[in-house]
Amino acid sequence: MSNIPEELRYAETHEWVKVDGKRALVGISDHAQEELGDVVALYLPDVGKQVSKGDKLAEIDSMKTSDVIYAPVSGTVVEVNSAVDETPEIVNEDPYGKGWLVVIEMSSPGEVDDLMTAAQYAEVAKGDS
Amino acid sequence: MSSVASASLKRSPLHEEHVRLGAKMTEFGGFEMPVQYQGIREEHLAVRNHCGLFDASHMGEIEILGHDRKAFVNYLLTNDVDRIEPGRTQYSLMCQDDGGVVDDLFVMDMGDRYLLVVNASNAETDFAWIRARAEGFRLRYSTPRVQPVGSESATPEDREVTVNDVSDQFALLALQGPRAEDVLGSVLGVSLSHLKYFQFEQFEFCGEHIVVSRTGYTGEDGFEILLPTALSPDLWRQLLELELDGKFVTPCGLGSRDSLRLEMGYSLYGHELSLEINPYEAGVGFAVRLDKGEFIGGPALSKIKASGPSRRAIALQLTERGVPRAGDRVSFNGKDIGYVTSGGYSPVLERGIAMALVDAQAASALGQTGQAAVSIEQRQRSLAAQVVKLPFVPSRVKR
Repeated sequence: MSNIPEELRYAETHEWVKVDGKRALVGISDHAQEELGDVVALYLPDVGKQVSKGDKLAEIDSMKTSDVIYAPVSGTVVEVNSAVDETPEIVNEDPYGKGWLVVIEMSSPGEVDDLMTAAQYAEVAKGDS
Repeated sequence: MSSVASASLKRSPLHEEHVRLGAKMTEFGGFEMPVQYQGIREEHLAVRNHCGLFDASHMGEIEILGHDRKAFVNYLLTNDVDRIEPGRTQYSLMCQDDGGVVDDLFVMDMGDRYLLVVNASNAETDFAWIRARAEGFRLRYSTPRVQPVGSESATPEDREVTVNDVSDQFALLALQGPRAEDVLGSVLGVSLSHLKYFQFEQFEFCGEHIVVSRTGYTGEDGFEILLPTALSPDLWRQLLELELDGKFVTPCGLGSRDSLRLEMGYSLYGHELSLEINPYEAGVGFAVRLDKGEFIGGPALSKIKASGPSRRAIALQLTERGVPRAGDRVSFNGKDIGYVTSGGYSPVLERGIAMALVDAQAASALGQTGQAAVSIEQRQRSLAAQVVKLPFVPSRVKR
């Protein structure tokens, strides 16, 4: 069973969000990295990019597949994790820590309430594994 | 992916072992097979550095018996079975009249019969194809011999070619990696050092005969073991339980089987080979022996060889990050020249690599420019790649 921290919120497309005021730290769930397998490349957005909830945020290549990471909230990308460019495997090793992807400064923080709780996401993860 | 279990999928005799090891399962060639246990990269590197164990029981086995079996196999396949003797394996192709490939396979000369090891996805069509060709072969070549009175030397059965699908009788394990000889030798209690590449021999395991062949699909030294299905879980477990220098054999799934064969540039049916791709295009012309006499596809292949194939297989290595995938288009000087037949990530090179089928003129233009740069077109981006020689990673098979 994959790790689903209580304090985070989740999108149906398997991104997680950690909220700190208007800042949303974003990554992909442990379940998502397990399904993808060995991550070998990430294509993160540039700082300053504006995204709406549900837009393509980034792309990810694993050994077996390529996938899209969607913006779980709307706003401006204010930080990207350059460490995952050099060592993409940290997304597998530590998806909720060192493997974070971007920080979005939220334009409508209320969107977070529409994201799933850990308990709700656990049902989604169970359903497709 | 772990819930692909479907009533319509066949299962390997090692299915319970895979479940016990927590494998992620996938559909392949009509079978439910493990795609990975711990991770593709880890399994891949275990084979390159130590030893990995694959279940290849999905592969099909077809035996060909009868007095005229050698003539029939030479008529059916493109390679020349006269070039091998009992105890030897040969890579060969089964083509249709126009030279398109029905399947690529291994022929094992068992002495009293030939055993063809074929791709899982083609096993049923292969069997039907071979049976139908055997009919034609009998009518065409097996002219009844005049039987001298009182002679018992040639019965009607002698002139028969018999084709049997024996896939359900056998499990196939592949033990691959630099320590494979030590591991298998210890488990069987025999020395395997005399066995050469593409040679096989029978050994005893649990009181029954098993066939050990020094072959594989990874580019490492290693063995493929053909054994009765009922014995396979015992051998599987004993191989995984053997500790050598503090290390164990790593169970490996189809994911690493694919990434390992891609690093070698080995063909995979449905990708590098198909009914629409002939052997010269695919770069496996070495398995076609035009000088051996009449065989199915021979006249067409002879013409293709004389005029030169219109497409050619090339090997590409990315010069930037990214992972090429089968179906991506390849362009050179802004012109579309073909497509990626297999693409992936090389854990050894830490680069994206691909095999591509491209226009033959473009291929020779590329060949003349040395470090020719092409691009691989994906939906979101264009990946820079250069043409390289195969294999991508040096082979370490024991020649």
